[in-house]
Amino acid sequence: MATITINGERRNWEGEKTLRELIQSLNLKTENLLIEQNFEIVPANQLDERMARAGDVIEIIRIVGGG
Amino acid sequence: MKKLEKLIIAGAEFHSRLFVGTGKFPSPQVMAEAIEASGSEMVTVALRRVDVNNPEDSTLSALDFSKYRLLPNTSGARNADEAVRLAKLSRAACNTNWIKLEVTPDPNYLLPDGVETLKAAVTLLGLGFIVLPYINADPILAKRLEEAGCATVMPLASPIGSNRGLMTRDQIAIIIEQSRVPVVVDAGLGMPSHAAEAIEMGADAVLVNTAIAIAGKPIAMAEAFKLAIEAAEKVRLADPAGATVFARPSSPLTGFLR
Repeated sequence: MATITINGERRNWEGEKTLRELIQSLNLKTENLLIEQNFEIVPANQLDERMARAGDVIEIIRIVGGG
Repeated sequence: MKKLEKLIIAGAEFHSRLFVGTGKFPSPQVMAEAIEASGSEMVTVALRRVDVNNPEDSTLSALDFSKYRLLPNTSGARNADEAVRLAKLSRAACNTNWIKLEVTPDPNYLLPDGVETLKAAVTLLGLGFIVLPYINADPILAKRLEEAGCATVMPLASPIGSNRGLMTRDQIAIIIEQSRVPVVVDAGLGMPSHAAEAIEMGADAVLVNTAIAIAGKPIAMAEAFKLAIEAAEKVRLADPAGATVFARPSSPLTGFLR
């Protein structure tokens, strides 16, 4: 079974989705999120073009409170 | 006493010498009101992985980002490589090239790793970042970071969140004496009097988070820090007389009782 790693968690993965579809499938809004795909930052305007593929390492990050 | 000069960091002028962290507040609304009450013009933020199984996070929802300069930090970085990665992510997420560089491999005291911090600073400066490094109160390291091109140095008063005040006072005094970039005392300032002491000593600014955020009344505490810092600025302008060993009579000694 093909897998994808999202925020350190391995998930089963079949077919293709754009990164935006991937985020939406996790019930997340894409606003105020930053996506890193295979250690490369994905510009917000490329979420509809870039495809999530089996084997990818995806990080979904947001700004939070901190000192 | 060190002359009070305008606070300019990398070309940006700040009218408030208080920077505030946004962590650990009881609610987004209290945080927003406390920061407003503090008069601060720059707030620190952090980056975290979204919890995919529990995605709601409204921590910063109440903050008006147009009112404050954002200073993202690299908290969580344990070495230079992790700090550089976090800095790049922060630049993309926060749309700023300013970065509070912190590398804290030690989980108990969260003390910064000076070697990795200098290494990361050099890399980040080469990438065009404005670097504000969080450091132990080490005058030599502060000098090295200044020479590398950092915009400030940010020595700790005591461990992050410990509220213990200026435990590193003598070392910070040397940093203030020698530094040609603004000195921002960061971490461990637990009371407004601690912040005032730092400014009276000649620090250019202070950064406070925990002491405000976990106070019973964060908004009132934020205002207390603001007022203490303003008082300390007036001290710098007032040319204090200094201390002596022997008493100096405040009332005239007329001599007729002898």
